[in-house]
Amino acid sequence: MFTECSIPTHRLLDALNGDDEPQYFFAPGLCERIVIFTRFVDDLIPPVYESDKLTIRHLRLPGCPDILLAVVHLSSKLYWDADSQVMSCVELCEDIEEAEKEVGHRRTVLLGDFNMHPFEAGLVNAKGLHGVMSRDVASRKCRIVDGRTYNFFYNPMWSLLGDGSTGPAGTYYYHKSAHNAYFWHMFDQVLIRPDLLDVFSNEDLEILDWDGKVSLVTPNGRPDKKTASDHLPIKLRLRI
Amino acid sequence: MIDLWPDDLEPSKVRAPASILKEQGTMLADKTGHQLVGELRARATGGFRYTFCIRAPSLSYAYELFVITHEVTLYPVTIHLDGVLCQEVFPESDGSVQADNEEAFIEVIRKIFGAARTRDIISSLLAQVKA
Repeated sequence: MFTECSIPTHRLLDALNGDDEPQYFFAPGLCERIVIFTRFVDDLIPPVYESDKLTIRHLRLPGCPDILLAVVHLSSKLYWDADSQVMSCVELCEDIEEAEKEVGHRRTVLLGDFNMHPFEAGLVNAKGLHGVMSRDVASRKCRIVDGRTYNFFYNPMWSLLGDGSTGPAGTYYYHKSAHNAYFWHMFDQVLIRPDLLDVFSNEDLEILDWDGKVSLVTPNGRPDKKTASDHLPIKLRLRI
Repeated sequence: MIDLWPDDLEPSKVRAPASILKEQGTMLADKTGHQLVGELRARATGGFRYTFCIRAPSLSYAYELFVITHEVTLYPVTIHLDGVLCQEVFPESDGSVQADNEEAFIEVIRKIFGAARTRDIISSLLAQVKA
């Protein structure tokens, strides 16, 4: 899944498939910012709700429980202030819950470039994405705040912040000359509904710094935008 | 207890932006043989904030075309558009356009509905519905 990819889709598809028997398919949608390629036919991952910044797909693989896959690219701090970013998470949560109501379950994976950290209000707030750092807390599925029930997401990206885990300390590097500077940012995230926790292991989530052949980082370990992108990709596996 | 409210309370004669869009949503349904409908969704983010989507019921699919926001007084209303649509229809704006009254709002909506991007979305959905 790519967001804001300037490489034409057909060229990406050619590069993915190489000279061998095609393995990858393009899964089309009306959200032009987000491009999805799959190893199965696109009929199995139709879009159900989209906007300029979001595509929600209904993944229905034969013999597997169906899941919702939501891919998002939220607005950057360059253009939106903190309150607007929070509002965008509240509305994103509404869109996801509406889609969940349509399909009748909450087996949802949400991922993309949120342009926010796991600890920022939009990701944490109960009305927002309500992403918690603990699998045990998330397994409670929801909590009541001020008389209203709010569903959790589990946000495993908390566990990848900094040097406490293997791999890069974040997905995006920016050195700001200000008093508060994080340097490494975790803007690209995966959030998982509690109903999928039994098919997700934290060992199956990593921030990639190489693609198996080519390094994605510069010699000093920062994202190499000349070779790939200024963001590092995330690899996730769900054992459905 | 005496009634302190004025006797001549009446709804505003000005049509609310949401009402206009609901009507247009129904018209899209009529025009496409109910293959597509325009749907208005109220947002829980506070104030008067609505999303206008084009929904294809048989595909279980909806696309958010734009968002409108206004205060309790109905106008001015702000229309928030996606990047591609905004570039096409209101290239000088930053993603939001303000309409100060009902007439100006209708004109903005006319432009959005007539935009190439909107037509592409509708055509794509209709093709898939018929497939």
